[in-house]
Amino acid sequence: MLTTEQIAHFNTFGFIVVRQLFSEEEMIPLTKEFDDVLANARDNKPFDGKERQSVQPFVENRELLTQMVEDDRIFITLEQLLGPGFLWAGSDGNLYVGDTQWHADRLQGDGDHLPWDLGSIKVCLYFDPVDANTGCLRVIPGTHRREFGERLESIWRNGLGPDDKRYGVPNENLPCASLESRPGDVVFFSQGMCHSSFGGSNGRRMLAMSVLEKPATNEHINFVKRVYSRTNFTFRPAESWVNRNSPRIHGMVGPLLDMGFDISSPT
Amino acid sequence: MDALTREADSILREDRNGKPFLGEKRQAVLGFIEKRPLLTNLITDDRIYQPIEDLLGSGFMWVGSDGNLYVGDTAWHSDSRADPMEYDYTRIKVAMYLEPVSKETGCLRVIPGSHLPPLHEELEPMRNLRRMQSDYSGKTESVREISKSDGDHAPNPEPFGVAPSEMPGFSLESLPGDVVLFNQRLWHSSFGGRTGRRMFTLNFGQKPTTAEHIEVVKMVYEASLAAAQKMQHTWTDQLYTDRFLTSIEPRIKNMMAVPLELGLR
Repeated sequence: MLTTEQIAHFNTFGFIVVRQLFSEEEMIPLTKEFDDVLANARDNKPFDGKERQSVQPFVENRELLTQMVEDDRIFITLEQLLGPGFLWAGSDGNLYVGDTQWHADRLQGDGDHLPWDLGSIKVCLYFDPVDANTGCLRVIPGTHRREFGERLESIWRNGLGPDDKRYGVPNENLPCASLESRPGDVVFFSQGMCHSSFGGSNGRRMLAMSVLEKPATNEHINFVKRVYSRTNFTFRPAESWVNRNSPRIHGMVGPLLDMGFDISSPT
Repeated sequence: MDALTREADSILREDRNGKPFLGEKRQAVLGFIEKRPLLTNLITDDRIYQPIEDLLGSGFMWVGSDGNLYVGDTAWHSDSRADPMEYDYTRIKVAMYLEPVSKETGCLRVIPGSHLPPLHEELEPMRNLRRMQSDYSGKTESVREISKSDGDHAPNPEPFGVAPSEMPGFSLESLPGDVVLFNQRLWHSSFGGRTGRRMFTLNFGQKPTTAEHIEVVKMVYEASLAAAQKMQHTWTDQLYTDRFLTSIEPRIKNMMAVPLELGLR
């Protein structure tokens, strides 16, 4: 699915945007499913835009969205980037409100953080066109790697608030790459890298799926267990997925069951 | 800026012996700010001198300057060699654009953090494209055409799977009067600029304290002199003006101490 060059792009910069991975026609039913799940979660009341709405788990609740995960364009791409045996961490669907300040998903609770040698990818689909000034993802390329990531530890460990000018500029002017996208594009980015978003409209729609490289060491396994114990949804396979006749889905959630993790109930 | 711009334009015109700029290839004049007192004053001005001293430490040296009329895009490159020795020696370029430049009209683009390993080294596949561009018209399209015609021997024009203009860079948009300072190891480029886009640079190096630093200083000098001889319309065998070499202005004298000591003219 990805060329050698695209893999080099991801390894070097920490992300890759695959343009128009899904066609306009494919995006219509996907968008409808996305909107339906969020509307159902609000009991079909209008979104009031006061704060972000986030539904977890997300793709697991709908057949079409689950098929998207099994699709070669997503699954094989993830396998190319993380290797076989990657684990499913979870998914969420969001209506965003306001800016997302600089941070990295690397940080977990109590100062714990993703080991530098354990890959973790978030796959994002935006259902509205987004650019640098309307809420697209911004990343600092290369910060998924220890050498650069550690230099910006104060950002991902403590965050960078709107009034923080420790680098001499407003935080929305921090040097970065803006990953502009339109519906059908898919963004794959390393969750360890510093990222943010500014200027997005209220109700900006985004679906995210997170996966983790197959743990190879005791440190990795212990990290997974700690994250599981701190969270309510992460690494908890959906019942529908556990019972699904799908080697790809089983490959992602089977090891979680082997670790004794709970199955999440349908939402 | 009006006065600085007039002086800059006059130097470039003088280098062409008053002939119009044809826009076929970049014009670059080295030893640029040394040619006019008003421009020379820039490097002793606190607004330039103090930030450089803050970044490079005291005893920093003058490397040189150039004034340019650009043509086409500037491919991604680093001003340093692909040599670990350069990681230990920092040079800073101060760029002043004489007209507004934006992301689409030729402003500087940088890859943040690429002045350091491993990101710096991993971008090496881009360097070949710059070499190809410097021998040709300077247009990105020509690089792609050359790659096609050279077949298997050509470097990959898109080693990261995207066009060079789509590489994840940060655009340093600027207006006349803005000053851009950047570590010369940083990978940088520019796209979309108009023919004859005007910019001049002031280049500084930290005080060299090791044999390796001295080697870098000498290498940069040789490369700058070669570039002057290639890109200027007027022949020169000297990078620094006599006025600069014999200046008694304290800040210039301090900055020229290393070149004089090394016999670099």
